[in-house]
Amino acid sequence: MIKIENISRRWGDFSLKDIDLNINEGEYFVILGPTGAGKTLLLELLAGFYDRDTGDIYRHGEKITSLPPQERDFSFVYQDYMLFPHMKVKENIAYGLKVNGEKDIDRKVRKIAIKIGISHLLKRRPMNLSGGERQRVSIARALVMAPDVLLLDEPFGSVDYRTAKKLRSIMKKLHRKFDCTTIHVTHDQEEAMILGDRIAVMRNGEIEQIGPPEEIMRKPVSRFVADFVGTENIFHGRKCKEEDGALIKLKEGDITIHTTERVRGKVTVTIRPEDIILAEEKFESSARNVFKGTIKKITDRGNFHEVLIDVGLPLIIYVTKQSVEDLSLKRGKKVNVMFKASAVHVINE
Amino acid sequence: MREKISPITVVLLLAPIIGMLYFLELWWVLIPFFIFSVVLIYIYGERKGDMTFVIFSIFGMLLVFFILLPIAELFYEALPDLNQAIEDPRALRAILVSLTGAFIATLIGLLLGVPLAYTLARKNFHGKNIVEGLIDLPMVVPHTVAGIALLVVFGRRGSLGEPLGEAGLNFVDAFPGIIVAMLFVSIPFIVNQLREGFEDVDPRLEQVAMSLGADRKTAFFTVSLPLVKRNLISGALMGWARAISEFGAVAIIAFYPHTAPVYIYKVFMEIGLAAARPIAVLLLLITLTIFIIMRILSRRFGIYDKD
Repeated sequence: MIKIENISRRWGDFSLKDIDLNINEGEYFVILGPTGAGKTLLLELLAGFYDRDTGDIYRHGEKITSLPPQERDFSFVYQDYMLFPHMKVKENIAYGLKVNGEKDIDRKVRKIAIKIGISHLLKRRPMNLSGGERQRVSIARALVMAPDVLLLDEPFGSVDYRTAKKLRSIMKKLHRKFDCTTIHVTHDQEEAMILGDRIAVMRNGEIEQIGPPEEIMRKPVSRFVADFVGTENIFHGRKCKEEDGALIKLKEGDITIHTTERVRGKVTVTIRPEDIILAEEKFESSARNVFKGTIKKITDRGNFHEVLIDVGLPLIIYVTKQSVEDLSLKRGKKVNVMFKASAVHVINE
Repeated sequence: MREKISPITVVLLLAPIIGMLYFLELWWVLIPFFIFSVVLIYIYGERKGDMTFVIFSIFGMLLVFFILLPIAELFYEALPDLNQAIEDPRALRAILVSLTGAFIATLIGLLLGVPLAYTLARKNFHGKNIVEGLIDLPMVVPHTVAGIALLVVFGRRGSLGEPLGEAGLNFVDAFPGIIVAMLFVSIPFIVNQLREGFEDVDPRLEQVAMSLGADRKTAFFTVSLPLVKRNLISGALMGWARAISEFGAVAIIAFYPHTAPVYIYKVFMEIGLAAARPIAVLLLLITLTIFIIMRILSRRFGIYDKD
């Protein structure tokens, strides 16, 4: 539904080079890349805040390259919220409806506030809200417009990790509910893997790879992509049994894992590499998840070593240098990996 | 490491100041100054061991007294004769001319200054430096020079004065001339205040507003302008105060009708200090009252948290 064709823009020393993207209706599209990759600039060009040097943007096949922002029907959410400080939360959310002369503003504002869980904040001023609350207001202000496309610029970049995790799952639910095409810019690969239907990895103003999260993670096209996305254990799966927590059947590798967290239907699962134990022999322990696997790769990361183990799917584990020597870990060696059910974090879709 | 200056240094620095004040018999300055110094040394010097701010404050206080002294003495000597000024209809009329002239000049300054300030804050263009320099120029030019320059343009044979005069709008020795002179000197205060305000408004706030469907004009009036309310008020206040206090430019282009400063000058020259003093005090009382009230009112517009 959104087509970006050969967009280029020079900006001092930096330039976006020949960006080509196709974003589908209702898709959650993530643009992932390090700081300075040009992600935000690309998003702002899409929103129409700046003009491109060459190239065109289409919406539903119609060229919108030279439309001003107010006619594009794209809503923008900035990392640092950009709430109007002189307006109450309610007025902030109502702003777009008001300038467009819509009716029934109060009811619409109330409805979206309830959905996003900020109805108790409506009378407050932005400066009296926490970071997470502000970002929810900012998202509500964008979503209440029922935009064609929702543009999110590092939306969870200014809040702490716990709040970011919470906002993530809210965003996921909202996307499901509103079915709004979303373009989300982030430097956080975990966030990208969890939220994205598809991911575009950007570097130095160019797109390195586009694809679904699994493909980006399993088949990175370049060393850069591999280094950038390869350091987390993120899997997709669905609930298969409930017992003392739940059993999750993963999409790949014919593997089921235990978790202590609540699971509903389709889920994304993350396991931190430092939470996984590696052993030569299986031993009795409180770890409910035990797998056999083969070491595929060991990378020296300075403070620790990163070990990639194939247990049916690739699992990344951090171990100390001492452990590598003591267990004489090397490529091709068969090992056991274990992790507690409580180390399995679940994001419900 | 915190810089430490010993109390002895402070006393050595204070001695000549206090000595001078004693010699000049300025008791009412000497006593509060002495008490102030002792209190400062006691509070900061003893407890924190850091005398830097004590010394800075003492020096700073001298400057404050320098402003306070003439005004206080003026009030002290002329206040009993204030009824002289109140009973002089020409003085009252002159003050009224000053107040209304400054008010109109400020309104014009705001009407034209807001768009200029916003453009300067948001856009870069060739010659922007020159425009900014020109805006500051009225602060640098001697005001008699400004008056003469304005007279060249707005005089009876002036490039603007002649056609406007034919249309019935005269500037020389007329109320519009006063407004022109006042506007000229107050422009930098109004425009610079507003420009600083607009520069502090994140352009992305306007971008968000536009992505929500507002055109640039709507974004300006609903987001940017409300956010510079404080600068708008303080700029207007500074411009207005500057306009009232203008003498040189006004006297040259429009000696009549008298503004308050012109009338005070005239009375001073023709009758003398004793006659000019009460009028000066009356003008000060009125403008200071308005100024202080507006300052307090503008406080109530809180500064918004910059997200």
